[in-house]
Amino acid sequence: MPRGLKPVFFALFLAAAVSAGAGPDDLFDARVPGALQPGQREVILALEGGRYTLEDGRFLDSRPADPAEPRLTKARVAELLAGPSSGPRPDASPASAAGDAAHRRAMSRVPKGTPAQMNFDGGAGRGGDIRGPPGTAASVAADAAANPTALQVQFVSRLVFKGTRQEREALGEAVGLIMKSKTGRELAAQFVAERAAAEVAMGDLNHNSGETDTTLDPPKVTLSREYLAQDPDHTRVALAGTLAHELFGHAFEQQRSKKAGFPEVAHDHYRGDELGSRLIDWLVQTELAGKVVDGDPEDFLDDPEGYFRELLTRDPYYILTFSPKEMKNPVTTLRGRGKLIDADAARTAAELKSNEDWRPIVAHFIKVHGIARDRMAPAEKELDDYLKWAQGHQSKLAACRKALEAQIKEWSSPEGAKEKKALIAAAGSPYLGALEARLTARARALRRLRSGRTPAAVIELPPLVIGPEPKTGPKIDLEEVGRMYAEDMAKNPGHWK
Amino acid sequence: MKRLWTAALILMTAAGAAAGGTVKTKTPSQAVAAALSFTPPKGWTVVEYANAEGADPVVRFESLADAVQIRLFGAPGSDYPTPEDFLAGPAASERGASPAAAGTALVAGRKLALHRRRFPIEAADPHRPSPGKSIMGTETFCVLPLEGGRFAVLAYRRASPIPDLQRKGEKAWEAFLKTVRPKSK
Repeated sequence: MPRGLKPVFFALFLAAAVSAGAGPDDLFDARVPGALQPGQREVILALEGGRYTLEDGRFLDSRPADPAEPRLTKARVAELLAGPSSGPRPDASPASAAGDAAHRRAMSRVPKGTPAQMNFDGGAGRGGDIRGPPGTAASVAADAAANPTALQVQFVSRLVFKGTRQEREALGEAVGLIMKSKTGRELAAQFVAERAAAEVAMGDLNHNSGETDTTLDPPKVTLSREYLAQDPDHTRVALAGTLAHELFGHAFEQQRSKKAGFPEVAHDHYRGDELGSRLIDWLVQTELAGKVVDGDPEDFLDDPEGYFRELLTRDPYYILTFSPKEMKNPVTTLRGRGKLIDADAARTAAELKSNEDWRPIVAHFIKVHGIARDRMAPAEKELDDYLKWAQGHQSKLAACRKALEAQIKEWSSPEGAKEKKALIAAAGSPYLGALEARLTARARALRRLRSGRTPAAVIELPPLVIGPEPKTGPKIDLEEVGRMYAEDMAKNPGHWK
Repeated sequence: MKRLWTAALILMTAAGAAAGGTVKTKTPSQAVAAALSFTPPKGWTVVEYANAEGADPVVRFESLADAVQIRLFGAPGSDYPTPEDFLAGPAASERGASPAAAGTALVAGRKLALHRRRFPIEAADPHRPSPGKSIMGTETFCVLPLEGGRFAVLAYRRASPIPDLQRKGEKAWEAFLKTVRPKSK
């Protein structure tokens, strides 16, 4: 055990012990609220081939030094949790460990490093000469492969869990699941090696599954409380994926970019920030369950560049994002995107008109041909769904245009010149090259996994039970109406004059 | 029209050579033009890009919700080395399911199987949970083998669930297929 860690754990333990009015030789009681961080119980139970068991809140040692007392003391539990090796905990203050919000911002900042001090995974070797010195992340990864339990201990020690007991347990289970995936273990090893840290909690996110506040130090990851209201058998893989997305894709990457001196503006406008995080999420889900339970990676894998192009008019955030090449000429690129919005707006307007052209056709078959209205329900629903989507899409396009014009104006002004210059300079940075290489490597890994070479699932998901389709006669969708229309045009041209 | 399209590509290549001294890599349009000759739908907007770090060029001709698309695969570094890989992969699937059989088409004297699948007309936001149900468009495609193990995937895409009463897109697709010819080196 490194010298730096044991004192930290003992300091934490002693602080807790003092606050509880107890001593280190007292028996450990897992039932005391806050006695264990999420995931720590599993860590102890997994040590030394199951040497320790838990009964009525007490950890029992199957090979105790004193056969008359197999129960573990608080000091022994703290020692076990300290693990065989680790870097320093980001914040050694007992008050912070106890969840004192006042100490959150005072957590020790990761010292700024040079790119040469950093380590990257995936295809980073192609990203330039910024691979870290040998023996850091690589050796941690090797250690992790040899001793995943030790890695989990180290990884958990760099996270601060907040929230109710139920929330912390759910998050702890999600961390445990992440550690069962290859991608999760590799990234956890890097997280530990690069001394990253994060606070993890659950919150009300307004239909968003997760978010990361990277303005905080360390970043705060929040996952939706809605996960707790759903069937855990069906949501735990999605929860683990979302946690990996936020924790590794955003919280960890933000700390890496800060170390590399990569400007925040470039991170905000890099098109791979969200997608790269989502790829981690999909990899973890696939490695755990043999499939993706939340999301559709095919949309991206089908045509990656086409996907990025479509994403631009998806939301005002994306219309302002760039590939590394586009980042070299941000204003020119944004000016060109006006045409993209114009084309999308014209397409949507034309389809809305077409949508309305089909309503009298559907009505014709009900009125003239006597087809029951309920049989036409699928076709009418398609028209309604499209109408609703298209109207929402038009609002998004208007917002995209507004964002585009505002950004062009800002970067064309003397006030915005400095930010634009920083963005252009960042386009050629080795860090961005490495980030792109990681994204490409993950996309390739996911493509391999989903091309019939998916490993056996770590988790068997129960089948979804869906009720039988109502038997109310053959339904008619819009495509079928199209065929009926063509046939009726040929047979009864008088109907359509 | 075919001559015009070829001439335009030659001019683009020449302009690139004049501007940069030498042309190091082919644009997606140039790569496609080197493998196939064809007449694109008149007046449609050209969109081009490449996947797999340039190995898999894409050229698409768009008019509102309709598009005729050419993708080349099978070059070194391609996401899909063989037609079998392509047909088993995400670019030929509908949310992971195999495409439906959609008849055949005669292309360059060869009878090719047509496949049909649906695709979401809007890219799913990677920051958001799965939308569950998306508004879907339709794609009809065929695989045309080329020289040297390469192959082209020719497709008609309609980025809307609403059928076109005039069938403009389908007519343009059918006319396009009649003009496609693989080139020999």
